[in-house]
Formats: sequence, structure tokens, C-alpha cells
Amino acid sequence: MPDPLIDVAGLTKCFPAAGGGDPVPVLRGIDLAVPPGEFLAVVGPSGSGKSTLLYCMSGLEPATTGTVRVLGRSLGELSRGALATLRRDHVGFVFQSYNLIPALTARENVALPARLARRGIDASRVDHALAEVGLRERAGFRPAALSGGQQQRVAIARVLALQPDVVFADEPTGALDTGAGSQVLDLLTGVAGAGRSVIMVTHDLRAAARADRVVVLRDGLVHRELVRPRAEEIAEAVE
Amino acid sequence: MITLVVAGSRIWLGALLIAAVTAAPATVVAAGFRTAVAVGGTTALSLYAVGGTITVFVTVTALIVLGSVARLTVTLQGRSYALWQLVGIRPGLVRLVVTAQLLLVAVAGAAIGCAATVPVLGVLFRSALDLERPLLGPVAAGSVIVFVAAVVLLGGGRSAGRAAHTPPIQTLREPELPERGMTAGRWVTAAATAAVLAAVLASLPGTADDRLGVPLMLLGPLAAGLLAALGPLVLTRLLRAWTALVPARVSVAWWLARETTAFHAGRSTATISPLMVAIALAGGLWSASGGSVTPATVILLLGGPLLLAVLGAATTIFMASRSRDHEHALLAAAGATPAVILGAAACEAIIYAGTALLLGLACVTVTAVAGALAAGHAPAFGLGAVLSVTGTGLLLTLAATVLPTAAALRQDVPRTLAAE
Repeated sequence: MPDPLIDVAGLTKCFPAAGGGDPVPVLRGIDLAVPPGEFLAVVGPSGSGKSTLLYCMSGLEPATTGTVRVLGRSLGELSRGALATLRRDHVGFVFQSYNLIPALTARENVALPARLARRGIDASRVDHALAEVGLRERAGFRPAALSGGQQQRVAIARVLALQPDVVFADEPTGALDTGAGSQVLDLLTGVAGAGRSVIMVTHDLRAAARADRVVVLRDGLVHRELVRPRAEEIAEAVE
Repeated sequence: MITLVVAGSRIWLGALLIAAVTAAPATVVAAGFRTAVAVGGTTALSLYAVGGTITVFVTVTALIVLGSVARLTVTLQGRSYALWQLVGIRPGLVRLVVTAQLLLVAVAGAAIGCAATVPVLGVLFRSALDLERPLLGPVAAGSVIVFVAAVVLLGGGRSAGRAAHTPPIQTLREPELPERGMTAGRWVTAAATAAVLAAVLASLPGTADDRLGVPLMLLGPLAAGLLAALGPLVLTRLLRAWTALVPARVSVAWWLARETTAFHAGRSTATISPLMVAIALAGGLWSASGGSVTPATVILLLGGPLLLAVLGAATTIFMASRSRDHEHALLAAAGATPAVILGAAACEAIIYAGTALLLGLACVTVTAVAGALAAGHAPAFGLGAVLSVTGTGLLLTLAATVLPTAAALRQDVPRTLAAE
């Protein structure tokens, strides 16, 4: 068994209460390991802590207690700069609200991580990534000139060009119609494998059924784990 | 309805501040004219002359600064206005509410600014004009409020119409609509300003040296007004041209700041135009007077407009800091380090100040060259004044971009991205 790409142990996360009362626990002790190449889906009812788990695993949100290790490095011990560098070099994101910079063209958005890392920008790699998501002819367009599905595909092209070790996707099909959502899922499924893992939070149980493994969260705890389940089995576990 | 009218506090606070600061020099002018009417004689004549000059400075500055702030106030809230329409509020009502918001802020800001200036009128008139007991009656104070409200509505009225009539989905997709380019109104303003500028220039040859000061002083603000009217034609092109001097491969922060400032043309114009006016006014006054201007004269003639222009530039950045936070969170998610994000914020301020310096210098050059040709001496560019104002503007804009960015970097990225 290879070392896990991500290793979560005893993870808790609390948010301050709105009125200044006791902190509100959202994650109550999560243990989870993601091996290289796995496509993992996280599902659960609203408020179960799915997105918070994703953000804690990616270092965008600090854990309250417990540890998150990515590529063997404990996120809690890294400075903000080191965390940013780890994200830049090893992590890709696909958010529901399309994480594209509005001032940059599709091509510039795809090349952004390389530019931030001061690596030489391989134009052919960027163009190839855009071609893979079917948007080569839209490379010069800014996000506002693209549809939701196209923006999401640009976000995936960025992931393809960056070739990160792990991709976090938060409701990547949440704002898309069925056709565009299916296209995005096909692309994400293709991203997983060859040592690269994809962790996807979703409400869409059919989307989750594409994953190698599905973790069902409930009240901030892992309620069930299912391996290559059908959508009906996931629905049963979530209820 | 009341809830709608008072929504968006950070943006409205900025607009309120600039309305109040606009009212301060307007109150000085109003008090000057009111006092002139009361005292009569030669004192009145000198008050009318000084008041007339300040009126030109204040009007040009207010139209550019307060007008930009009013436009930005509406533009930054485009998303909210679109959501209002989606819940069923008619476009006509949206326009009415936006106009009411602008009017409310203009009147409140003008009243605050007017009331805050009254206590210093005595000191100002005594030190600069050797006049005891300046007067400011209700009519003069009311005219200040009407002036501020008119400028705000002139600047923001068209944006209010645009907020109401742009399809909400288009606004939600792209909250900051692209600049509309040169509208008919801009062409008319530019042509009228150019005509006045040409008339002043034509009047210079043959004018006695001791009478050149006033027409020369008008050239700076007129040139600034012309460039502000031609803004959509000039600003982004100039910004892109000079910032290309630093190649993208040299600094990621500079590249990000360059792309952002060029893309958000409305935001950039709102910051650059006030700085340009400040530089043009200070350099123009210095150049027109051949460097013989006293500090008391500078404070009397330019104190208010300069304060308005420089504060206006910094305030527009503060007003837009929420959307800037969102962009910075996107960069952080993409792997930008805090140093790169802070660097981009600093470069943004440098780009604003640099572009304003180039435009302001163009205005000062008009005054300097025209003065030199008319008086037959070497041109005086007032570089000391130009650089002092640019430096002050740069410091304030740096503080306005970097400090909120540093604070925003302490926020968690998901929360910032979620807080749309």
C-alpha cells in the first residue's frame, strides 16, 4: 500500500458563534487517508461539514485540532508563505463559483500557477490543456465572456496544465446544467489516476457515483465509507 | 425601502466623506461671495476675484473627483441592484432608489462638510485675506448643499440609469461593467473644455506680464478637465503603454497589478483622475506664478481642492477594497504567496500614481509652455510641487491598497470567496 497523499487524523474545526457564545463545532474528529490516484467523493446533508473538510484538507482553512498531512507535510506547521507555495506547486482547485481571475484571459488563467511559481510558461502545454477541455479557440476570452460550463472547464484546464498531485473540487457541477456538469465530471475523472488524486465535494449523488470511494459525512463525522458505490447506495447511506 | 437605501456601508461611507470634503472649499467660496455682498467696495472686488478663481478650481475638482466617486458608488453595487431586480423590483424603482441614495448621501455629506468648515472660516479669512468676521447665511450654505447634490447626481445619475436598465444576469456575470467608451456627453464636454482652453491660450499673446497669472492658472484645471473627459480614450492606453516598461517576466506582482488596473478601468479612472487633478492644480499654480506663490495663497486657492483630490483618490480604493479582497482570495487559492499579493497591491498604487503623474505633467506642461511663450521667459514646470503632490498621493494610495490587503490576508480564503 503506497503512502497516502493526504492523511487526516483527529481533525476538528470549530467556528465562532455569531453572538459570541460557545464555538460551533463543524468537524468533530475526522480520520481519513487518500492514496495517490484515488478519486474520492465527499457527500452529506447541508451543514454536515463537507466543504469545511475540503478546505481544511487543502490548507485554505486551519484546523482547530488534529493534523492534516499533504505529501507528508503537516499543514499546521507550515507558515502562510510555505502553505501558498505547497498549494501553488502541488494542489489544484475547482470551485463551484469558478476560481478564475476576472482580469485575466482564459490562457492567462491557465498559465497563472506557472507564472506565480516563476517557472517558464510552456505555451504549448497551456494550449494543449485548453484544447483538452475544448476551449482552445476561447483562449483569449476573459471569464465574463465565457459561460459557466466554459469557466469551469478553464479551471480544469488550469489543473491539467499544472499537473498537481491533488485536485480539490468543491461542488464543481453545482452551478451547471446537466450537459455541462457531465462534461466537467468526465474531465475530472480523467484527471484522477497516474498518482494524482481528486477529492470532490458534491450534493449530486450521480456525480459522486463516478468516484472510486465515497465518504458520507453527517454532523461533522464520517458516517459511512462506500467503495465504487451506485448512486442508489449513496442515497441510502446519506438518508 | 429604508433598508435598501442604507445598504452597502463601506461604499456609502466613502461617498459621504468625499461629499463632505467637497463641501468644505465650496463653503469657503460661498462665504467669500456672501461677505463680498455684505461689505462692498474694494474688499468685495478682491473677494470676487479670489472667489472666482477658487470656484474654477473647486468646480473642476468636484466634477472630476466627486463625479467619479458617485459613478463608482453605483458601479460597485451593481450586483446588489441586479439582485433587487431578480426579486421583482422594477427597473424604474431601482433607478429611483439609487438616485435617492445618492441624493441622501450628497445632502448629508454636504451638510456635515459645511458645518465642519464654519468654525475655521474666521481663521482662514483673517490669515489669507486680512478680513475679520466672514459671513455665511442660510442661502449661501444652501447653495453649497445644492452644488454638492448637483455634482453627485451629474456624476452618478447616468450610472443609476445603467444599473437599472442593464439585464441583471449580465451584471451578475460581470459586476463591473466595461467602460462605455466615449459617450456623446463626454465628446461634448471635451469639445467645450477644449474650446475654452483654446480661447484662454489665444488670449495670452500681448497680455501684460502682471496680468498673465489668472489666465495661466486656469490652464491646468482646464487641461485636467479635458483629459478627464477624454478618459476612456486616453487612460487605459496610457496605463498599458508605460507599465509595459516592466516586462511581465521581471515581476509577477507588477504583471498582476497591470492586468488588474487595466481591466478595472472604472475603478482605475476613479483613482487616477483625482490624483491627476491634484498634480495639475499644484504644478499649474506654481508654473503660472513663476514659483513666487506664498504658502498662504496655496492654502487659500488650492487647499480644499488638493485635499479633495488626494483624499478622493485614496477613498475610491477604500470603497473598492471588498472586490479587491475577493480577487486576492482567488489569487491565494491559485497559490500566490502573501508577498506576491502584497506586492501586487503596492504595484497597483504605483501604477495609479505613475499614470496620474504623466497626465498631470501633460497639464502642467500646457501652463509652462504657454506661460513661457507669452512672457518670453524659460518655462517653469513646478516640478517640486508636482513631485510633492505625487509623493503624497502615492503614500496615501499605498496605504489604501496595502493596509486593507494585509488585513484581508489574515482572513480565511473560503470565507472571503463566500462573502460575495
